[in-house]
Amino acid sequence: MRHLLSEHSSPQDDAPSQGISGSVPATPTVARQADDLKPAEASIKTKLSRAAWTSSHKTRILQVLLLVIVVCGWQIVATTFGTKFWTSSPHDIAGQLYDWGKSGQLWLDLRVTLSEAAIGFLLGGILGGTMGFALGWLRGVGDVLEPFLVALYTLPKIALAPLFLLWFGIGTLNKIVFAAVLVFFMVFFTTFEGARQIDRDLLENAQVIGANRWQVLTKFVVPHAAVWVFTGLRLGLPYSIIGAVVGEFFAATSGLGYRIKQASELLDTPSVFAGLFVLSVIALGGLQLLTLLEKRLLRWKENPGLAELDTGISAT
Amino acid sequence: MIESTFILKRRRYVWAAVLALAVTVLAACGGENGGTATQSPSGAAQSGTAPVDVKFGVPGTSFALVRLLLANSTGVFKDNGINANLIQVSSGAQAVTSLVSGDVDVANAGIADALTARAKGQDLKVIASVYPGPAGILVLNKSVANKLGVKANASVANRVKALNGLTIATPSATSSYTSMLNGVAAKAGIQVKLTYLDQTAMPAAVKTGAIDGFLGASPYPEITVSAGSGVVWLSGPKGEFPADVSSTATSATLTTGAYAKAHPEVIKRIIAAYQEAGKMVASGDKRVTTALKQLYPQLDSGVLSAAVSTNKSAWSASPLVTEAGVQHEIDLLKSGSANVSGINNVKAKDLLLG
Repeated sequence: MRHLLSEHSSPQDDAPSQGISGSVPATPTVARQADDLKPAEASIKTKLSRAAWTSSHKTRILQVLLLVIVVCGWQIVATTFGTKFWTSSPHDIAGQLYDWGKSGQLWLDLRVTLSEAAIGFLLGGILGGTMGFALGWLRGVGDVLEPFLVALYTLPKIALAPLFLLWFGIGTLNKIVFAAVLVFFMVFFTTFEGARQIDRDLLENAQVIGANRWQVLTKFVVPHAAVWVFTGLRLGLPYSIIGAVVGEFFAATSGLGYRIKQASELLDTPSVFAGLFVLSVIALGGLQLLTLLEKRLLRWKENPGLAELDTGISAT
Repeated sequence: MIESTFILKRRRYVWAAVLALAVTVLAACGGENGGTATQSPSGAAQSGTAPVDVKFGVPGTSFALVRLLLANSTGVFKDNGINANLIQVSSGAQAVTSLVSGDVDVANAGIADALTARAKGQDLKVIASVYPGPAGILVLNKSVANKLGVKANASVANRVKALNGLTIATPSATSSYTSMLNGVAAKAGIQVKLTYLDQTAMPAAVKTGAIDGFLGASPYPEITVSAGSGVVWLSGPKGEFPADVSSTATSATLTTGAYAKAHPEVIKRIIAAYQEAGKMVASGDKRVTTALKQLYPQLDSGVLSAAVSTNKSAWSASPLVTEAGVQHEIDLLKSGSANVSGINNVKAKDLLLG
């Protein structure tokens, strides 16, 4: 904004008379006004960020409070009304987690399930993102293949688990493939839609002002598609864990899913809940990591827009 | 005028919706109560003649359940005043879960499954044994067996030792097959990797090499051997599992203490039906052969005859369970790797009907 003002400065014109769209003479008065407004702008930004921090802090406090109330309520109900067989209790669950941690069982099972989920997630994410982009960008091919992919997507995946057992055995490959299949469709369809929604006029304009194909692809298309890929990855992450765990339910010799299934057959409710708790923590942790990665890779999304640079210069 | 007409119409719609909802709720309640054809169980107990609806949770159709399946398909249950509704579940553990949650009246599972529930404070009772003794047959993948360096007709001790490190499937963590395998492994000082599969999936899993072997009841071992993909390694019906690690009853019919107390007549009828089915088998009644052919169409006559002669004595044995038998199951569970918490507090007589 300021460079526009300085380019158009004219010593004769002492007063700002036009808005951003017109030629705005950057007179010394205007430049002085812009400088005078710096502290005000900083003050506003400080107040805004302080307000945002306070609000986020309040949210966190409320979340923690809610968690404490739920946990305490659960313990009280389980103990007072004797529902431990059905619902276990936070105390028993914590005890079970401690036993697992101490015996090393938890880490062994966690390693198995995490590796299955992580590899499945990467495989499904890469394939889903690549194919989704390709078929979304190449409209003709995408139109031909879309109904088949939708049909595959609507198949109940749980029905595929016994087939995967036959094709891939009961080892980790079975669970990796199952997780990858679940993640693939999440990422594929979001990327597919995203690629289709890229503004073609914008791309043409970019070419008009001299961008070559590579620049169009790397400066416009890929960044836009990346937003959708990350949306798909966020949706797909829990499914990678679900895929690994469901695969372990069907057949496994170790892993969190195997442990949960064994516990449910033994009517060991604390162990079932302990396993579910660990899975929730993994999913939340994974989503946090993904959010951080997204913020880093898609930094450009957070660049302030023109409106934020508006120093308040009146158009009149 | 228009407004009052609208209000009247709206009232009609509301009343129609309320009426439809009431009819739906009544129909649903009527469905859950089993319709109008039969009396309630307590009514039947008093009259002693009217048939009673009984929901059975049944884990599959293996030979371990033949006595129950025969009683159902040959009309023995009906003759004894029971309208049996067999609900298929994937394992004995699931059958017990269905029983505990109130979805079925009686469940078929191993006594180990009942003990596990008992250890968690659930009041379960054993009505009768459906298959006394071990029904499980250990089958290995043919190529795995060939690589072990031990022949299928070697001594039991050598065959057991050869299982070290193999991945063997059983129906569930609490099944009697699991207890048996754990007991055998512990005795021989070997480690076996356990995985849990529906028995119907075991033949295919062995064929594709997904597992090294499985321990299950007929006809699944026979199906695997007939397909050329497996060999029988150890046979429970032939007594190749040591007695001290063999189950008292591979399959038993269980119920809750509350149901047993409320419906003593139903319990008697079930036991009577099992005794009658056992007599049919012992006497070589032709209905048994006909029923078995219908239940197991995938087995050819020769294989079926051989399987029948192996299992005949178990099918016709007394279905009554003793305190010593239940105590044996408790000891098996304690020595196994299932680690059932609370099992030390369970007494054998708690599972028996008074």
